[in-house]
Amino acid sequence: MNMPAEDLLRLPGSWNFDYTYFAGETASRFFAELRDNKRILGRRCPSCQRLVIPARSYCDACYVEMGDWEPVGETGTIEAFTILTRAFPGLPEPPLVIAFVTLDGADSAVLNFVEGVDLDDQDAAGAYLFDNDRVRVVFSEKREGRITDFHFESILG
Amino acid sequence: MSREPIGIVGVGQTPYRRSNPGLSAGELVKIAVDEALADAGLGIDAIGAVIGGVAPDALAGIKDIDRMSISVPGRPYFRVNTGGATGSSIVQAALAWIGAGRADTVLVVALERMGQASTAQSIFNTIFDPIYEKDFVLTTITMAALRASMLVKRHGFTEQHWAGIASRNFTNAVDNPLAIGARALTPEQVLASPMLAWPIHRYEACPTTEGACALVLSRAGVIGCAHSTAWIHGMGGSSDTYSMGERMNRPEGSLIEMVPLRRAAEAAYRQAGITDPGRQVRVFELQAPFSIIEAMAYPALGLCEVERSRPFVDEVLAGATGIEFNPSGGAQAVNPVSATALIRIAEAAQQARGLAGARQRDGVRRAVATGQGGATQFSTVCVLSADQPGD
Amino acid sequence: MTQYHAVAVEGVALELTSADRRRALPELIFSCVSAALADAGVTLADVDAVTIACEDLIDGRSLSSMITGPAAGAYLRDEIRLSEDGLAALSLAAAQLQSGTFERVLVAAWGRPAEADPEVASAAGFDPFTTQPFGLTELTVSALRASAYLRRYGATPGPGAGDHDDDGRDRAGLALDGRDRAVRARRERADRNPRANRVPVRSVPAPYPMRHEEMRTETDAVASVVLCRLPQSEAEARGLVRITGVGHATESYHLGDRLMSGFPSARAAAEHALAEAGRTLDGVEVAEVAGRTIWDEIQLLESVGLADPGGGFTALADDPRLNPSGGAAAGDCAPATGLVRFAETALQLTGRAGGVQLAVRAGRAGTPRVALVVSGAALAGQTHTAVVAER
Repeated sequence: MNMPAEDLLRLPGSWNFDYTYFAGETASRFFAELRDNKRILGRRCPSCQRLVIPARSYCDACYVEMGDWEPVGETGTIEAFTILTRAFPGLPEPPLVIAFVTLDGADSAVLNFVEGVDLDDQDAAGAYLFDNDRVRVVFSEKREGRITDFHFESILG
Repeated sequence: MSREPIGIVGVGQTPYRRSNPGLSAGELVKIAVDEALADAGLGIDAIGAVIGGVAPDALAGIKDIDRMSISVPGRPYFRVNTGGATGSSIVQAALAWIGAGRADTVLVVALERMGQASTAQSIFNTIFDPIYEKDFVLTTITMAALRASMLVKRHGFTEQHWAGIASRNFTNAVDNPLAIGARALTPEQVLASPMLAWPIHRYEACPTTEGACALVLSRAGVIGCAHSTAWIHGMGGSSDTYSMGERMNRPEGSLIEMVPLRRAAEAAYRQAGITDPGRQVRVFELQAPFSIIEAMAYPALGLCEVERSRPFVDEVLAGATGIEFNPSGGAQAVNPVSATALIRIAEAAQQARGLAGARQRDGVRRAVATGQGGATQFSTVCVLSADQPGD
Repeated sequence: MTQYHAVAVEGVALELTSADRRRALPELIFSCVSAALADAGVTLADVDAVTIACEDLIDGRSLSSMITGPAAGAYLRDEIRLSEDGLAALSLAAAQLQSGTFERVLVAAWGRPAEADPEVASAAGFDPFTTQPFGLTELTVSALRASAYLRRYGATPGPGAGDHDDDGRDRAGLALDGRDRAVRARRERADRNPRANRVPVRSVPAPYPMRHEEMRTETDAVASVVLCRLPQSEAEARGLVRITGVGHATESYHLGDRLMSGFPSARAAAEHALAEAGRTLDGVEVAEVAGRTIWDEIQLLESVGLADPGGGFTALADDPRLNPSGGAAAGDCAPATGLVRFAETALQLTGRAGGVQLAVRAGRAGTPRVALVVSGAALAGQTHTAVVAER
């Protein structure tokens, strides 16, 4: 059969499913601490002793419930980063830097934006971030109890 | 591993291209299945079970697209979904099915219909944690870019390394008639392509691709001597925790050491009796949709020490290792998500069987295929050989 | 199953909740899997592999097992996820054990309708060209089946009216009479089931001709089972439930080909499982069948042969062996369904079912010893898995 290409039917469709994700008590408390107390709290595993942020209710590695809540430092080190250059629905205008940062005292890294870096020349920005990998936490004036209540800023070397 | 050897006796693949508007899902599958059955010299009646692989439904835009295209009425059937590792997970499931004595011969089929999606990366964003991480535009591209930054920092990789790996993969793909539209690219052309997420250029990532791949697996007792078979000597799998932040620096290894891949490789090598993969394996088909992932895979696969990652890539790019990587062009040239891990096994099998046509490499006895799903979270390693285990 | 080794059930757990705001989905899974491990008297370190059943569209995560897999214990261990009903995952886990690949496998399945409406997700599984325009969902397919059943056996004159059973009773009369009694019996059992959750997450209007009380109680559901491979003698000495037979079967995708004929794949799967176990239907002392509504439950019973044609409602009402847990009325969500039914069955066989425990077998006091579990999956029961378990 040799139907002309324009006759080959392509039916448009789109998916738009609605979800309500349950954050659970642990994540809810983590977010409440950001919003109300401008604190980043993690939970420590009673078995391996890791202090994990964002807070989790159980430790994947040991498969036990996490224990005490503890604050982590407000400075940290960039473990990994990238520079986003393409617009994405719901996001601020690019270019943007996202990074995983291990805050002092924590045993896991947390993802957030890094602001205040000149991104006109991305290779220069990348080199800068490799050489200056220390950042500080900055809380937003208006906080909503979401992960975006804080971001990182580079600590100039 | 089951006690009786199991081999791949039939391989079928559709050509892989961005979209196939002239074919339904079922028609795509039938092309691959018919070819695999013909290769095996079997009819569908000889098949004891069918195992289907379809990764995230969102890519095709139809829930359980396998139901209308892969499942065979009257046969036991089930669908596996482990993201990018799907194609290898169905082989693992088939090995269990045959090893348990439930069937002598199993057909595994993987189908990708992502040509129906308008923006794959928007879909890939929805694989990430909705509570803590979705706000930051994690996609498969950005998560690879994050790893790239660690590789640069810890091992001194440069953009030339990524571009060199990509160039080699695309150039290999030119000899693969199934990689429709493949063209050779120089490292300079790769670096000149637009930046997706720093430092990853478009030609260091993979294209949107559709297609289907099917394999027939049988136990040794039913395989005729005359039949060209790729024997499975080892199959390992390991899945990791999700959070990248928790995988940064663990006692088991950092994020860029690909701990689950290492563990899967160790299990597969142990079963296969491989102690020196760099010397004992001739071909590696790696599931590395980004060239930076390929760079991380070498030490995880035991080809070099972690500290020597960068010098090893220099050797690879100079063609000085005696190992052939991705003769098919790999996942970088062609990456239909649901099928890609199966295609790696299929391509490795064809190399071991001497049936890889223009992309056949010389002197292949053993070939290894890797599979990967999630953000380097699920890993599989399959060791294939032209020789029966125990020979 | 081999004569020497058995696939034994070391522990089970199930949890039916409604929109527990204290727990995220991974935390629900962690809780249930931890309970199964505790029931088995083992820790995760003793588990070789995890086999999962979950669906991306129900979980609202496009590769759900990335985030939910580790919650089920998939931390640096082999893990495979089926996009299927939980009973199929149990079946694959049994094959993994029988093939000698692993010694102990943990199985988990879940569905959390509190986060999204599964009916809406199910619509995306129907053919976009011929079926989606009519707003079909899994529930409306159940209604279509119910109308086909009523047309055959109902009081409204149809081809079935005038059909008489061996006792000379009009089948049509039986069907209607049984309907109300079966609904009451099912509800009464669910009320007595200590594991039941009678608070639905949402109330769904019942599509004609079904009634509200004939729906399932839609709840958040997680189930988990620990399986291990043991010498027959040890499994028996420890009084463990053993899986002795498994069956799978598949029907055509197209609804028009199968809506009017019950569930032939359920029958074929059950026959295979019983044959493997060396058992007959008469020897089944407890059966749990998973149906989306009571209409599906009774048609499953008829298809499998646990009820006469047209006698499904009466059988469910009067035969205490059938769905003693209360079935879907006790709380349910796909794809946990089949694993929940299996967990209930395992509790029956070990005398731990509490308020719904069967205490009579073969006319004398005693717990049931032979069980049959049947459960289906997309699309609207296109595939079925059956498992025979004994103690």
